[in-house]
Amino acid sequence: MGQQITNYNRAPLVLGDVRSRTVTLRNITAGEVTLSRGQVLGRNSDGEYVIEQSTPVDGTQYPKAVLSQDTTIAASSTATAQVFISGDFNKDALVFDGSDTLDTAIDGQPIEDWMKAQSLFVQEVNELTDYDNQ
Amino acid sequence: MAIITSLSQKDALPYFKRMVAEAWSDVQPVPNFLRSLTTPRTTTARDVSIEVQRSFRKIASEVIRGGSPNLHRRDKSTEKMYTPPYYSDAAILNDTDLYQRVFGDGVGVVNRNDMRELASKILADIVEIKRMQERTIEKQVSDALNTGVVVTLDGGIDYHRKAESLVTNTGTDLWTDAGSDPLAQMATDAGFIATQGNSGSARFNVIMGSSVHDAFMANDAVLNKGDFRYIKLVDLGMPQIQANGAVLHGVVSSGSYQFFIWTYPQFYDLGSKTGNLKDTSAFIPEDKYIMLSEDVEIRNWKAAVPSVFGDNRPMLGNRPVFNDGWSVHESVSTERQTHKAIVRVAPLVVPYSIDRIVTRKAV
Repeated sequence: MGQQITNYNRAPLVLGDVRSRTVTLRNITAGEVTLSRGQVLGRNSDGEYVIEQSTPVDGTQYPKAVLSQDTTIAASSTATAQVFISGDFNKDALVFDGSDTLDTAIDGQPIEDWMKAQSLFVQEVNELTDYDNQ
Repeated sequence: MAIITSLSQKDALPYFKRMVAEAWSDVQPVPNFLRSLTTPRTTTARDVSIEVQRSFRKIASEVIRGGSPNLHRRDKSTEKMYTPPYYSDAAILNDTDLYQRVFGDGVGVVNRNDMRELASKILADIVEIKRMQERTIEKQVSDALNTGVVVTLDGGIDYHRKAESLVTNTGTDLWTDAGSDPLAQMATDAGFIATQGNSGSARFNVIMGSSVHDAFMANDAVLNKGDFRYIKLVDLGMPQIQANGAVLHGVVSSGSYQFFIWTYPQFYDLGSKTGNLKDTSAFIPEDKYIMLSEDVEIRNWKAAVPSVFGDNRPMLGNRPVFNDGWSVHESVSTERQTHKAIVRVAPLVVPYSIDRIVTRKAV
């Protein structure tokens, strides 16, 4: 076909002042993973950041940071990355594990509240444009 | 050589006994009504690349005084890159053409100049080749308006019309059905263009196929509306033929909208024959109408045609002549004694405001 269609969404992750930190990310799976910018992260007992999931009860279920750039980590190993430990973030640009959302409850409180407690503020942005027909 | 400098009595006989008094060709200028709906553009790139950003017409939400403002952004867009189809057509002459008669040569004249006649023949050939390519562009507009897919060798270029903009009437909706209301259907289609196409226009051009127009003019709902004594909502009169090949029949209203009723009785030849009749195809299918808002945006792109520049020496390959996206150049081989005039273009009609077009199969 003599045509190619590409959609662009330049919606930013960061909406306001942020604080960032260089940290160690751990991949706890047996395969390589690529985490996307905006991935919400938890922290394990070794101080390493992992994908935040609502189901574990080892402390990693609490959101602690947001990943600042796409990062690939080899199976069962670590990588160095920059994360945001506080700031204002675009709700639509955050990435959660599986079916988790801002409303998913951890210990009876939604993830959004746990993020607020960490000074990770989530804001809604009203998109005024759309893609063309595809 | 056929250049005759003196005539014997035998040679002279055909000229005085059977001289061509006049020559006539039925070549027609190419109608351009559909292209008149487009804006011409050229690019020096092979591909036509455009970026489209669709918008909403939202209203502002109230906020609490002293609170934070609502945040808004305009971040989404779609880039579309198309490779236009490429047309390269050549007129060709060779040395043996000088043995042949050229159409229309030597009309009413005994002293023919075969070289001059051949030169005008190839010029006429170039003009006709360009007309053929212009018809192809007219067909591209027709494709975009009719189906939303411009036909090309590699499967077509699909502009992804919404299904609601490609309507097929059935049952009592058919305009040939006594219970149908064409004006209500037109108002529905105008509503689609207004809401989904973000059109700000209340005036629409409706180009009807021949059968659709016949059914429209015979439909009771249309006739009844036209019969209003003191309220003039229909102004249909003697067809007004335009130079671009279209015919304007008048104006009708429905709801808050005004519709200019057009037909476009223009055809292209399919190149085949049934018996001794040419097979033709209408630029607007007879069973459909096409509605466009006045603010429809359609571009008639001509992309780059690859060219090698010669050294300007006569008979060794002249520079191509470029005009409005067309390239014309000659290729002369003194060894092979051939002379080609090549006309090339890479056109693509691209509707930008794709949801400001509705096609309805009405009969």
